[in-house]
Amino acid sequence: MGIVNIKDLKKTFGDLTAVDGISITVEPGEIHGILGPNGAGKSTTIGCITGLLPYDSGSVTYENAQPIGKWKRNIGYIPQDLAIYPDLSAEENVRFFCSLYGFKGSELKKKTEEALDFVGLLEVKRKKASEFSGGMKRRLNMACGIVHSPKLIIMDEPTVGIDPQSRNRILENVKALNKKGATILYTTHYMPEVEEICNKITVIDHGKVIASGTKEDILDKMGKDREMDVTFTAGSDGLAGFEEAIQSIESVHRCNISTEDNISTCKIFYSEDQTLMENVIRVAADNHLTISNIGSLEPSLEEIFLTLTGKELRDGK
Amino acid sequence: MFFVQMWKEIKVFFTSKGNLLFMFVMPLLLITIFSFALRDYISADYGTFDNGCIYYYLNTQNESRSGEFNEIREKMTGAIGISFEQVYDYEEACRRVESSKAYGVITIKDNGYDYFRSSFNEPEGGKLARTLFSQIADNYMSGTTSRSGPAINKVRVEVNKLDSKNYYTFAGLAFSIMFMGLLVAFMVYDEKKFGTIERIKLGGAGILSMVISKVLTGVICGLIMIVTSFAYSRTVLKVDWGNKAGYIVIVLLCLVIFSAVFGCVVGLWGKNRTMCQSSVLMFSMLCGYLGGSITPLYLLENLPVLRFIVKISPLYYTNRAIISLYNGIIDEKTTYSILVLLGLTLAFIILGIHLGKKVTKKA
Ligand SMILES: Nc1ncnc2c1ncn2[C@@H]1O[C@H](COP(=O)(O)OP(=O)(O)O)[C@@H](O)[C@H]1O
Ligand SMILES: [Mg+2]
Repeated sequence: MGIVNIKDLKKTFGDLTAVDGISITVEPGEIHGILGPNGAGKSTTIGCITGLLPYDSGSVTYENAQPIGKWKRNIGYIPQDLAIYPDLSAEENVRFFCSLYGFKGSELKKKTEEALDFVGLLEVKRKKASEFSGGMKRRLNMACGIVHSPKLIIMDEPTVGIDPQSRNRILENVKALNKKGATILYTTHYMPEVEEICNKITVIDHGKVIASGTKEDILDKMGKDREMDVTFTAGSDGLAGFEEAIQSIESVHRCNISTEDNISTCKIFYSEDQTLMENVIRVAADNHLTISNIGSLEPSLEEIFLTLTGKELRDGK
Repeated sequence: MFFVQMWKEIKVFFTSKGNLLFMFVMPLLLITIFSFALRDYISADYGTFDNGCIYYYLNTQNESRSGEFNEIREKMTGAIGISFEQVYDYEEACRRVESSKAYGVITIKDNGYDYFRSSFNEPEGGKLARTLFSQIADNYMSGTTSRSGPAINKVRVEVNKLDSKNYYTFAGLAFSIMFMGLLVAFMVYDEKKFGTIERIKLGGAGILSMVISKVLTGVICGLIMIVTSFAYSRTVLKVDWGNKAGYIVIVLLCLVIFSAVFGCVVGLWGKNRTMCQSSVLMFSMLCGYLGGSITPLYLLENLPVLRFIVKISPLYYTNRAIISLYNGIIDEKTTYSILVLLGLTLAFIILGIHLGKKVTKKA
């Protein structure tokens, strides 16, 4: 039983089915990424999880099968669109949202300062939010959502359209929050972020889950080959023997050798095998070949996504 | 929880330079511009007794009755500078009154007085003169006041002269209060647009306390506008609010509440800022125009069709009530205006609850 259990969730807007039978379990302590192009239904799913958006069918329960009710106070929500008061200072913003959770006096002050410090805005706390850069606003948006130390932090595309520094800072923050014990649900349409911080991934498109699990799980389930490229220095005498030996390794599916300008390159397609590189080097030595370069390429989620849906992840639609 | 929200609203509201500018400058600007620009509109006719004349028609042989009337006549002339003119053709006199040549015709009879007035366009000055006349005549006839009693002195204090400065002090202020609805509309709309409303809901606070705190902030803003205008008109324009100033403030306060609730409903309903803005502006302009905040009421009330249309504007009732109160008269107009404003407020609250439910669902 996870901290959030989503079962067969459906949500329509008129004729449009934004979420079409999604099931996700978020386990306590994980950083769970929901990956999908624009319009996939990420924000709608998040809306249903926070209880802010009523859904048509299915169920969303929390720790020990509780309904949303009072549990919603355990949620720290960082919406996709900034939810801050531009006319108030950073400190006033954070303090207001914190005081909604009943914090008062010195505790309120402490929590406010901590949250501001955490996102690196303590020094500019008296500045109006409207005077902040885009990245600072996003960080303030984050501080407002985490100030009451929630168990579950939900971030909806927190890095859209901001400078690399702020982006890195936010990713670092996510990891730090997770270390402190918060469970994190993170949506994005930007694959490298998921690879960088998430230990669980759910890929959705058109309101449906198309893959889920750890990155390795997903790659395996897709039956997608890993690829290793080996380049040899001049001389092609041992190539035939090399190819034969490689083909006989169990995890190898295919092996292509091409020679150009006296330089031979071998592409090996294989499934998960930690020992392959060792074996390749040994086989090359056996056949008196000198390796000038060897590297393995893991297929990216992006590539998988492309094969699954026939469209680029980043641009959506 | 409510105070946390209220405090936040006040901070948000009073840190916005635009709001402050509106609150302090808008009423003073409207009052000043209208007072001076529309000076000639008001000066002669409306609510003042200058050039005002009442006809009287003697229809009695009773010496003491006509003696009594002469006394009343002198007192009124002394108090408010109105003139009396004896007529001998009653029918002709009535016709002249109907065409606004005089305020009315008093018929002196054995058993008292008749007062003929224009059936639909009795000017405000005429109403005041008539009120005054009937007060004095009542005192005479009931014998409660000695003939040389202090009744007139009292009346003299109470009757203020209406000119463009004091007319637009109230009409301009009421007009700006209508516009204030816009600030509340923006406050509510922004909360929706910023998405902060969702955070507030996750925190467990209701949308109701948010809305109430915004309406209250609007009311505070309205009160400040009233106080500022009071101070400004007293000191700069030398307008005395009269001894019914308290009632005037109550009527204005009802208008403030109405305007804040109206703005709040618009904010809940509006899909974007422009939509909120144009609805409040259109409504305020219409109410202001029909309510006599731009063109003086007496002009509107004398126009054939407009005479009825003006009644749809809540400002019409407010301005009418305030003119009477300004002249020291508390009558049914005050009650009307308070009832109309509170009734409309209630109607908008019901509409607002309906819209609020929708917003709650959607957000
Ligand atoms: N309030 C709404 N009314 C109508 N359609 C909506 C609404 N919110 C989202 N949608 C539609 O639902 C689909 C999913 O949207 P969303 O959940 O925002 O996607 P994502 O967050 O993955 O980009 C989109 O096609 C979007 O146009
Ligand atoms: Mg989204």
